[in-house]
Amino acid sequence: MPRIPHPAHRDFMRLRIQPWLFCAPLLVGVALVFLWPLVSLFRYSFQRVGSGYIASEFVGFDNFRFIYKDPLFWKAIANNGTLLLCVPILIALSTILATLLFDRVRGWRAYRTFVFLPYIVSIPVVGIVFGYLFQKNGLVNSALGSIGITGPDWLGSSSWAIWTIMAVIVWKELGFGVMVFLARLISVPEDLFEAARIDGAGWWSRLRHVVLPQLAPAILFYAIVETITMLSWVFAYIYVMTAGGPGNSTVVSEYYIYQQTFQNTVIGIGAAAAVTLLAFVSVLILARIWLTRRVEALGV
Amino acid sequence: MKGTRRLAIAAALALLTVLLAVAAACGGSEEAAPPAAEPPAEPAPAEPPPPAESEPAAESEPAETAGGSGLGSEFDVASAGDVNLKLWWLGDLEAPGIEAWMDQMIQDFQTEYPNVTIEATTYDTNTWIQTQQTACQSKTGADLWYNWSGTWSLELAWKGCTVPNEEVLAPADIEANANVQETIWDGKGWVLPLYRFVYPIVVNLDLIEQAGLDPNTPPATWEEWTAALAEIKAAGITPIALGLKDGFGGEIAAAGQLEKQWVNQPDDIKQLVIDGDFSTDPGWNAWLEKMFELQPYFNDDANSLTFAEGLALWQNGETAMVFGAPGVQSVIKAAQDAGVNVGLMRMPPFDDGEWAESLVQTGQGFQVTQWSENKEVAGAFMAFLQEPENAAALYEATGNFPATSNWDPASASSPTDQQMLEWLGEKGDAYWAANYTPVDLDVNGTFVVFQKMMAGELADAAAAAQVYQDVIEKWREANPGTVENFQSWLGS
Repeated sequence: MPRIPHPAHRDFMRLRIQPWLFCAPLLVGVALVFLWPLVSLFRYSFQRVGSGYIASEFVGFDNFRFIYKDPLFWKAIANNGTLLLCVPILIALSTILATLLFDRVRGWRAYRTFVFLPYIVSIPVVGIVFGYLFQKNGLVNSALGSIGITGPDWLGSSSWAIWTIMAVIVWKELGFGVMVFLARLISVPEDLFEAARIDGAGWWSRLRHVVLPQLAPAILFYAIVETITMLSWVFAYIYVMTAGGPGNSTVVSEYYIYQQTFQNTVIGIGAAAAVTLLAFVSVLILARIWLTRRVEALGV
Repeated sequence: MKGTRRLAIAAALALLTVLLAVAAACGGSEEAAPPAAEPPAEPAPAEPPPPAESEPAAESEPAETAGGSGLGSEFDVASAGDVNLKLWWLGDLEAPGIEAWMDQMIQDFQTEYPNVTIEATTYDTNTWIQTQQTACQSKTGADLWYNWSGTWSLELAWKGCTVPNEEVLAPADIEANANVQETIWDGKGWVLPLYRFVYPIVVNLDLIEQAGLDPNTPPATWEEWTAALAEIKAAGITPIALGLKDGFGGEIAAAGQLEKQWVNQPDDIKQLVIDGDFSTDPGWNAWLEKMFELQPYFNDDANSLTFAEGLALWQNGETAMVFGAPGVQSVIKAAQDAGVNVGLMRMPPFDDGEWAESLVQTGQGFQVTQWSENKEVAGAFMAFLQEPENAAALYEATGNFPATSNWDPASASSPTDQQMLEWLGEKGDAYWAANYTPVDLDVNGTFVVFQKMMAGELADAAAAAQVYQDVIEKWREANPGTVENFQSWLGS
């Protein structure tokens, strides 16, 4: 006589196990795409990587020791740190522009398009165009020269190059922040602004007491996303605009990883740097999750 | 409820564990290989064994036939069955005009041997090294690929990814190409050069005349040269064009003109790499001092221009001179066609190395990969490219000098080409110095030093030399195996 499963057991199978079974092929696919490279990365970071014909050699923490005492690695991290200054600038500019657009100033739709346009232009195109504009004898300095100002070598001087790149990044990324903030403001009940106006609040008071508190979750989201961008998503700007120069003054951690892995072909050292960068970014992602929960808990 | 959640978590963890195990197993092939001895003294006998330290793989064993090796030009391609040959290279990026020539060569070869199909794929110079490394890692890809001489190609040989010329070419094919010095290692050649790049200084004689100098009397000494540069500058003309943003301009100035001056033989450079001190080496410091002497005579925006943009300054008649680079013949021809009176000169000597007065040259060509199942056909195609009429067609198409002695230098059609060929034969061979140093020394040494010098961020030659020393110390630490390879390369 066939054994009939207990109804509770049947429910358990149907409700708990079945969904996992259905998802399993996709999970396996996703894990192979994301997990395998990660595992390989960690593995390489502890190896002197060979080739298809020369075996790899386990070297323990030597690769990490190498990068931690390499001044160029720390220079790269410092440059990422400098680029982090973009984040408060982006937040401030995005807030101001989003607020102005939210007030529906004359022609706001056109302004919104103009502000967002740089964000959809590809980074290599931006890099090449600004690379030309900021040549020592380029258009920017020609324009400055016409009003009697001698411009610097924007991308050819170690003291200017990283700041010039920062300016380009801000120009490019600003549109995203404005759109995020504007979308958030549009979702805020109009009553709040109306009440503030009735109470006689001026533009500044509304910004401080209504807009900013309402924007807090969006600001937090944008800040974290841009922070991660400045740490691990600026390679294309550097590669196209300066190739890390002049004199390695604009090398960032991603570029350092590229140099070690592909130019010097010391894959293990590149992997160790990548693992370190991954650790930094992971901490930031965890911080974001924690902060988001805190903000939600505070009921903002 | 808690129990089911625990179960779900356990299931997910189990899945992760399985995936990790799969990943580790799949990625573990390298570890599964026989333990690597230190290459190249005792390289890893992984399958197939690295060519230089072990017997050639069975499939690449030269098939001895009566009267020859049966390889290269002697190989019976028609008997090889259906073959699809994959060729990877940089095409016109390296030698403008060469793609049309190669298309013709492929067509001719396929017509002669209908059983062979050749697929040529062009890659970008910026991603070339990683393309090759990735192919080597996966043991798949091209049957033969383009490469530069020296460390560029030997790095791949040391990793066991390519086979020596001797395994794919007949002795006669190899003997017909005397330009293999830069890739001789372990008694074998690892690239068969197709053409040679040469590095003169290209001069706009009209501007020289405009500066009040005699265009027919090039400076013979360093003092005369710097005095001439000062006069050109005083006349309001930028003396030398340079583009450093992508680094290549620095490499071309250093390896093409300056570094060679103290060198007597390639081992001088290799030894410096292995255990020398760049910061105190008198030869190395001497050329860096001269680099600083030239600094006022480069265009002041060199750091914000790429190499090509720097070259364009000369092409637009904005500078008097430019350091010759790959494809110099086509640059000269274009200028001449535009009515510019072009002259050539060699960097006047400032040191007493045997290479000091020679014109620098370097060979570029093809290597056959270790994993190729059609090595013999690849070798036959390489030999075919060097046949007399094909070499002549190469010169016609690109202006570059074919490396094979099957090409008659007397057929050089322009006075500037004849001048360069005369110089090449006059003072003995001098090679591209950067072919004997690690890539790191270029990227983090030469690129950086030139950029910093132009930005005014290096005090003097000693500070520049220290940059090189710092780079090489890091490189030695990160690449102990390659240091040993350099050691074994001495005397080759």
